[in-house]
Amino acid sequence: MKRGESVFAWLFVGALIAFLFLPVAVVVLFSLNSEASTSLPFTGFSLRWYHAAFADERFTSSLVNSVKVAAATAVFVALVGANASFAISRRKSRLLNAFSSFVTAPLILPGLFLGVALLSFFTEIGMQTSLTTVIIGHALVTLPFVVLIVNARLMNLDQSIAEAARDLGATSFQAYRKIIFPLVRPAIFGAILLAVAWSFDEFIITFFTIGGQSTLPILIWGLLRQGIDPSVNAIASIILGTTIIATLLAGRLISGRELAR
Amino acid sequence: MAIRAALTSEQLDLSARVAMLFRTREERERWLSLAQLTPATAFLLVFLVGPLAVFLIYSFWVTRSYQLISEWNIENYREALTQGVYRDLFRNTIEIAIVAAAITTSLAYTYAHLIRFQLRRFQNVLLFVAIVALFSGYLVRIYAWRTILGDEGIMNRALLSLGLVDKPLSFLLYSRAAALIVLVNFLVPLAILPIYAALQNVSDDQIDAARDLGAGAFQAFRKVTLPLAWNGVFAAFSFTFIIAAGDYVTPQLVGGTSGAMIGRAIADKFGVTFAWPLGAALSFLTLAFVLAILSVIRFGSRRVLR
Repeated sequence: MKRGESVFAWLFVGALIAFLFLPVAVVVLFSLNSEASTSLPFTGFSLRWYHAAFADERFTSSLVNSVKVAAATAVFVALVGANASFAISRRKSRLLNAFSSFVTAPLILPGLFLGVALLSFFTEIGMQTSLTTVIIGHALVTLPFVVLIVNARLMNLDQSIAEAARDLGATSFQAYRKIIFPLVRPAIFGAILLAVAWSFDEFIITFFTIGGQSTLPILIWGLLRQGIDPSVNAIASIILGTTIIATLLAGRLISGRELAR
Repeated sequence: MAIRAALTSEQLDLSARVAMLFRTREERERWLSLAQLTPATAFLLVFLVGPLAVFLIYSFWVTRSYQLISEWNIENYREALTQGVYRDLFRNTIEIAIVAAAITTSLAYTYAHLIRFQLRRFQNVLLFVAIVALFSGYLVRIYAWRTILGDEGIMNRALLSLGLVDKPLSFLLYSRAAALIVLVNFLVPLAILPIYAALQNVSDDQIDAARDLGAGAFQAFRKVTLPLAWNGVFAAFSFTFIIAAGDYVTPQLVGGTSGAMIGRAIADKFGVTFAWPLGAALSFLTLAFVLAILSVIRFGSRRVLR
């Protein structure tokens, strides 16, 4: 490869990464500012906005709600999604292909569309909006992650190891439980972490399906409408910290290639 | 007895006992697949198909004194298509979303192409950086751009202190440009994934063959790489176009009047103004416009990329 080409490549890639992470850096930087200003010059480091956030009951209750929703969503989609993936990978059929596109449909609909459709549905069947309805909305969008990721892992598995286990006397169930499942488990945990990251940050569907309660993004939205409150940056940084750590951990369990499909 | 005890604990555990209910392995696997697919299918039928069906039905109903009434009609669609305010919003939305999707797809393609073909040794890390970006904030990201682009924001402060301008550039925020910057900013990572996946299916041999046969770098790209990766590129464009067209936080927080989009009008119909049927009609029309444009692009690109 020519040297000039790779310099250009690094320049472009570096500039795009800087553009992508600029807002993240700005939020985290100003969350640590000792002054209430959200502009330059930066006056000094302090954790006062984090203290302010944690002292606020609205923050702590929203945090608890966010954690509840993310945890419930992740557990639910992992159980339902991983099972569906096992079934999809076991054999090829047109029906199962159709099922795969059916599962991934929520990914290609705008959040607003899903949010208002869910609100209409819950109203029509007389189901009160609450954290439960939020979890249903989040599960709808995170289910495809799990199915796609676990499927990718199952497709990479050498199917002959399960056959070998059966030839050695294992039943299909034993081969599945003792051989296949342990090999797929990291992918399931990776998918769970990504579901948590997505749920913790989700705003639009939550906004329409939450009723009177609040999660962290909903709290931020409320604070934004009230004018400048510098603890918004601290709350936003807490969301970012959580989602980025979850994604980094997921990266240790699943490869980027399993996600890029 | 000892043998029997060993059997109970080892082989006759629950799964094995269940397995014995069915005669052949074929049969067992079929029933297992069915059992494993049922929860996901049931969940999606109730909470995806159900809401979409109710939403579609609502778009043909009316509201009267804050009550939904099942009086079937197509008034909502007529209103959405004939009122000037919605026509302007639709036009704005399509223009902004298509430009955002085009910029996003080009940037994402360049990134994916460079990491796949030129920075090979770092491609896994650089792909993962894109994935981290994908999961690092939506609302947070949009609001951060207000801090960056506002009158008191970092950008204006920097320009002022460098002496490049003498008063803050107020058009940086609440403009179409601001809406585009913000949309591109959160859509790029989403577009990188399908494009990168498609480029992985383009083998080096295919490109080398084209080069050996005398194609220049650009020709090889235009005649070999791009057509082979086109499904991924088109998927990236489609995703970003659909999501940009349906976004409402961006226009609300940074768009101003020139960056106003239909998403905000739809959200309002489900909030302050109780007009769900009209909101539903506007949603389906947005989706219909977007899908129509995408099929035209799909059809056109097939003829160009032969």
